[in-house]
Amino acid sequence: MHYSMGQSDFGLWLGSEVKYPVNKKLELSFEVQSRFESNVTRVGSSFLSPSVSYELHKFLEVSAAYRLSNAPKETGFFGTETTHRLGIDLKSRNLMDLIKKKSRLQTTLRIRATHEMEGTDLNNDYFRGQLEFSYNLPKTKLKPSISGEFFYHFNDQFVYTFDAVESRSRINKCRIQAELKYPLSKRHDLKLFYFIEPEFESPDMDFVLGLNYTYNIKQKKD
Amino acid sequence: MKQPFIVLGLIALFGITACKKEAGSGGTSSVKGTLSGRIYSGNNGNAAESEITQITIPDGSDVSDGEYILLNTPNNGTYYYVWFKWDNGAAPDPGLSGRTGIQVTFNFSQSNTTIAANMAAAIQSNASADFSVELTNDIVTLTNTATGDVPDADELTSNVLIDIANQGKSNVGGTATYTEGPIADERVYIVYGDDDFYSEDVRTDAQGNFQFKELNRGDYRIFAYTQDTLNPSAGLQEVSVTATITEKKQVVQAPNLFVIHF
Repeated sequence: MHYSMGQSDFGLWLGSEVKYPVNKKLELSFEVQSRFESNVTRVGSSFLSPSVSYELHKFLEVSAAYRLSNAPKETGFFGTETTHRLGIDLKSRNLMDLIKKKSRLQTTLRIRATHEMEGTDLNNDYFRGQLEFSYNLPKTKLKPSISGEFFYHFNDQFVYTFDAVESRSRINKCRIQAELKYPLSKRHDLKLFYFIEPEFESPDMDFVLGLNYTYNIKQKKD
Repeated sequence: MKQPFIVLGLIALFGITACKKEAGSGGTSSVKGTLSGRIYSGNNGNAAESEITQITIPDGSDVSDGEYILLNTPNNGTYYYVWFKWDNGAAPDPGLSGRTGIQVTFNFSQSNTTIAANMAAAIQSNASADFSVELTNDIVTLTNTATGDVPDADELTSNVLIDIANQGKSNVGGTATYTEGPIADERVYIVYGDDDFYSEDVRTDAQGNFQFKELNRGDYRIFAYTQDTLNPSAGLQEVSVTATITEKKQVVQAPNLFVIHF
């Protein structure tokens, strides 16, 4: 199904995640998520994603993730279209601690590279950069944050002439997000977020509300 | 320590190898070619005829919100587009300049026969001066009320199927003559891999060139319709060529197609 140019869409992302810290530096996680689109009238895609992250340094973490996505055809929850995505993140966090120890205001810089395959010759390769500011509210567990992210899409546009096929890579969209994290208990976290995602050189814009639940498995004692 | 990375790598490897690439759309390559032929410009005094267009409607689940088809009339009459509006959708009227819009409201759960009935009613209501409308199950048959040459109706990228059951003709007389050369605005079809039925069609440009874009690596069959000079009463026959795409971002030159039209 395709939708007309220049329209806004409201979506809803619902997900849950299990995290398992193997040790102080290494963590495994498994996430499932469903994304509803077209003003939350249909499922756009659902995915499951195992990932592993490793703390290289107090301020630096590297992670790798695989994502298996499934998109329904027109109606229903599951379809025959699957995509596979590989991603690598490099995250520099708690940067404010470099200036002031245990600052309530924190900054995180994340660089992400993803490679997505749909079973065609056209792959979706992205390079993304995100800058996040979070603040740990005094006398409460709430941790609101805002972030901005750009998406650099390799081979975003193609020009077909009778002699050659030329491609153009560009930043094709950005995401501005507000997020609220709330630890329900020691092992249960809840995250509510809302973002807008305008596309460049296009009047299309997405508005997405998301809710994510995380369960943290207790770490084994060495 | 290395085990989690190995497990993740194996899962990813399975995912990558599970991606089977086949001939079809979604790629980065193209097939180009040229269509030429012989066009007979006279038909020994046949009477003028009306164009008859058969439109086969798919189920609602195969109709896209906002898509449209084109309908035409002879003698510089009114040109139309019929567009499908999902009753819960936000797609705007395409508003094609120079054409009159006819809206058909649908939803994804409707059957092909229901949508066909709605389309027939909409055309009857808005364009009865230009078309007589017949409905048979999921097929809407339109007969131009005026005789003469008409640009064929076009389903564009929709899942609606359009067949020209009878070509409109002006009243002509005299001896048949013909010209040979590239043919403009001729429909060319592409069949993916071992498929039996075509998946996409384009029309040639003024120089008879055509190009199919966004194709994967694989084998393709390209064909057009021609009339058989040895057996004119047999109707249209396929004339086809093959092309193989072996690389990404490749432009493959297909052999030329040659057709004959009386």
